[in-house]
Amino acid sequence: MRLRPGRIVAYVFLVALGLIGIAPFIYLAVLSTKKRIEITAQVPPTLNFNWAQITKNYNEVLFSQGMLSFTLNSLIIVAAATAIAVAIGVPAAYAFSRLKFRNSDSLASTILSMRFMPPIAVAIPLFLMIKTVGLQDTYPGLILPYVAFSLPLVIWIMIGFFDEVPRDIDEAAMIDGGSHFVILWSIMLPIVRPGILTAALFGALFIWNEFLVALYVVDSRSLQTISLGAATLVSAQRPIDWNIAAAVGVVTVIPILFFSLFVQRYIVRGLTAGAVK
Amino acid sequence: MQDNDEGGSPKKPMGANRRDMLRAMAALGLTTGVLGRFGISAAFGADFDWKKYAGTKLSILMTGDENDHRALADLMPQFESDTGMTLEVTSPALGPLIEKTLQNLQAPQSSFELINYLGFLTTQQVGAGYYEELNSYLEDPAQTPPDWDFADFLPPAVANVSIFDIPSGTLGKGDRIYGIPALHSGSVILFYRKDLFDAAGLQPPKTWEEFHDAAVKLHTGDVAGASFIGANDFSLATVDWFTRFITTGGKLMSGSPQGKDFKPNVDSPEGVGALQMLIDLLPYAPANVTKYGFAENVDGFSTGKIAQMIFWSTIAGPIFNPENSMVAETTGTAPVPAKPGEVPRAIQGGWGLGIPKNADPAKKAAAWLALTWLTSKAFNKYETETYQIDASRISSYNDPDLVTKFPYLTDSLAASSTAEVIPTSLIPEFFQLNDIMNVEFNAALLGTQDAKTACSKVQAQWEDVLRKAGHLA
Amino acid sequence: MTIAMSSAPTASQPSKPENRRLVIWLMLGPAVIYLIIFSIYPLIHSLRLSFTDLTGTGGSGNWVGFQNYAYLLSDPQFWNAAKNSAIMVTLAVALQVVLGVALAMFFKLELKGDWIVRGILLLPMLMTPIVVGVMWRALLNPDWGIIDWSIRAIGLTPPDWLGSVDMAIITLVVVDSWQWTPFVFVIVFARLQALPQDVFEAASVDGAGAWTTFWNITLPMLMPAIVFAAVFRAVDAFRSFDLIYGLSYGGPARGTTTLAFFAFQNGFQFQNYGYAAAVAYSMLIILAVGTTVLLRYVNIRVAEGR
Repeated sequence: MRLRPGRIVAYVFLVALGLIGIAPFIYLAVLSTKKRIEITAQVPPTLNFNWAQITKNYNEVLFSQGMLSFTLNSLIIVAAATAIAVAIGVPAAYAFSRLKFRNSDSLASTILSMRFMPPIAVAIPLFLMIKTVGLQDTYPGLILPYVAFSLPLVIWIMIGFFDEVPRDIDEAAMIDGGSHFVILWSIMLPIVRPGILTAALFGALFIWNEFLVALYVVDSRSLQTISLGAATLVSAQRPIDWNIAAAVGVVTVIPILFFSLFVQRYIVRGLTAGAVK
Repeated sequence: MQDNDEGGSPKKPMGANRRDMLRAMAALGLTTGVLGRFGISAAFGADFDWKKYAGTKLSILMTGDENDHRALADLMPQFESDTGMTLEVTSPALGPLIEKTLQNLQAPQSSFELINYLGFLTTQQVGAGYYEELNSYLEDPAQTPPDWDFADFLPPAVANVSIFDIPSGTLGKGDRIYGIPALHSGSVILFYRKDLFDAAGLQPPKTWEEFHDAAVKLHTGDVAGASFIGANDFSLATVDWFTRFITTGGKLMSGSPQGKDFKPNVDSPEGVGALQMLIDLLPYAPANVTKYGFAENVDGFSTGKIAQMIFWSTIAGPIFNPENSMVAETTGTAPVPAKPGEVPRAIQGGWGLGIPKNADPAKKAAAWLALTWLTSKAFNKYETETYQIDASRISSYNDPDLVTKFPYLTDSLAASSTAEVIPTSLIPEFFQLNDIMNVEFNAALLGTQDAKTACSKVQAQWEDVLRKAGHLA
Repeated sequence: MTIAMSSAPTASQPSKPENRRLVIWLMLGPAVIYLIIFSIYPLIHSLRLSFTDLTGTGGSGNWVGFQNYAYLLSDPQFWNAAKNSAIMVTLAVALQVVLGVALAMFFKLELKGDWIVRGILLLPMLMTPIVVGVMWRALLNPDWGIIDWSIRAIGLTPPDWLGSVDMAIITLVVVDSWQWTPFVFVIVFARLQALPQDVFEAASVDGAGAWTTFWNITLPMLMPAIVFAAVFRAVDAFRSFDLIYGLSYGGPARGTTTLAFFAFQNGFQFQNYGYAAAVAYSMLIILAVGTTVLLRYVNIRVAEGR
């Protein structure tokens, strides 16, 4: 394993992996600089860039279609939903980990199983509820159901992290007379902070691209999320503007590229620290 | 007109100005100078008070599948300065659009004052009584601009989306109006390559035999003799099969849903024959034709790889736009082929625009005013000129400037004037029936079953669905 | 301090049962109540819906008992969708586990700069599924897609990716794996990082080869993470429809219509709300049975692994 030739092969493989991984995005980026007709007529696409065309495509996507504001909406909604899910989920996970009670394990499993329901089974009722309380077409109207979507996962991951913390730590505090709230707040939270980040990121991951509930709840263009914006790309009964679709792809990939390059190390580190349950 | 532009802008708050500028910038590539050159307000009557609902905020739910929403975005600054109202546009793709529409129509109050509905859904949506009757607005000179001219709309489009007799549930009967043909109409025409046909000494085909013969003759390694929708796609049934079926004497349904004897004739000789025509074209079609839906056919034709096909006339936009097409100069159009003795005709497409009955009552009159603006002659002409979509007004088809620029309009008008409502669109199960047909026909084109088997399978499944839904005893 | 120390146990001990219950309620209450409102209640609502004939415009929403379920069992399209779901979930999860574990082992080499490649490889799972679908439609376009072009350039015939019924579901599996192998990778990799090093050192002292070490030591210890990731992937592959929406729209000839897409189509495209709810509930039943069995297995393995 430590042999030099082996190491070189490994590096070659690493680079190849990176190239294969990035290739589809490069292709997407190249297509996004073209006229529609060039995409279907030039195979493979050439690399001569026409700035006027690029400006035009991206202008269309960012401003005319509003992808910029859709991205912002997604960020706001997912951040708020994740924050609430963490606020509610962390104490619950602590209770499952430290305050075992009758049936606590099966309750925890039941909560995780909420994560598994098909969106199609709940989208319509959720929409009707949101409408009844007058939150249709508002940020809270999407945030409320999204909290429910990420909560089970947040709780489940946090139980794992709390379980990892040695019991002596909180038992010592307990003897010192700390209540569970004090222990959770001032002793446990600092310890499990990487876990909270992990849980939040995983919670966010699965609502970032949610489509069905958003489709029901959001009416106005100004509140659309990324996945709603992307859905307008595909329609069977229209010529697809491949260049615009590619530009949408690039625009939606950029924020997550940043995320993926820099934040993934914390996910892995967080998951490693808490080990996966 | 210029006064209007200049007078309008300073009153707008900064935010609106910037937004308008962005919109204008985005539209610039396609519409350079159009806003300045093409004065919509000039066309409007002088005495009519366009500003009486100034300040009202309206919302429209419309299709984002075609270019209508782009045209609207281009002209939005004009709308705002003409009427003083603001209009928020929501324009999803077809599936989400239908979902959102039903959701709003069935709610206690619709979030949208204007809703754009597909002609195929008129019976479902208008027939169920969800839309405001518009006759009183239409007849009131204070509400309707003098030059708006309802008679100018294409009669088949009006029959398909506007007029409905709710008591008997009959489309196109009576005189009650619930929606206006908008933002575009459409049917099917033949697109063919003039250069290739001329070189081979051929005339555009008038019969299906001629169509087939031309395909055989023009087929080369680079150019397919003919194409059609071969994929499991909405238009396989509604464009390619249905056109061949009715123009060879087929009658899709007998009886009526109300009479509970709504029986399909898919397995009739005409039905099997129409599908067989497509199967017979396979050797002269693009190699991947069984994967060709709407998008692939437009891509293939506009890159010069297809010699002829019948298609929705709405694709005139991309085909005749040199920006998106290599065959803009060499494409000709003609009516669809037909069996001798049959009128060349195809399916009636297009959209209607109505005001939901459950819209905010305080905004309905304003919504009507906006509706007349959106369906005005000037707007329709702008859409046709800029995006080459199918006009819904006869005046746009006959506009001398437009006809010179876009000769296809003549054929498009002829097709729109003879178009036939597909009878399955009279029941809510339309999309489901269509899906069944596309799946089985696609399988036949893939070679897993012959035309007769495919048609009998569709026939059997359709009868099942119709029975289950109570349209067939 | 001394007072607190001596008094705390005596003061809290007797009242502890009550306090404890209150604490549990305060900590768990918000989450449980939240999920009852936003998860359980909607589920009950759909259950009721599945016993009605509600449709977008025609159906009245009358109670029809088990009619939807009876129809479902005799509906060949339902069974076709169930078959497609089974094929898709099995193949996708198997492929993703194998690739995910292989990637995790590779990144354990800790090469310089590997975080960049890791970041690239994680990208797909963050992408909007509809965009993924459209992107792959472009990559695999039979006329101008770069993949078919490359295959032809080296003299081979490209597969009929989305054109034939048998191939389309494989293509769906490939694209789903492209998007979600990173998820399996991250979970397994994290577990791998957390494994105690001494076990491996002991193994290499014993002279065990790399393959034996992997098969007899590493893999069993990774098992909890693998099963966890596999269950997650199985469930998500089973219930997602948006990738199919962008990639193949269920075709050709319903070859990629899975149960999730079938439910979506019925509820959304055909507006047969009652029937769609029945399909969704049949999915829930399959999921409930499937995950109970699998999660029990996870618990066992977790216990063994520690």
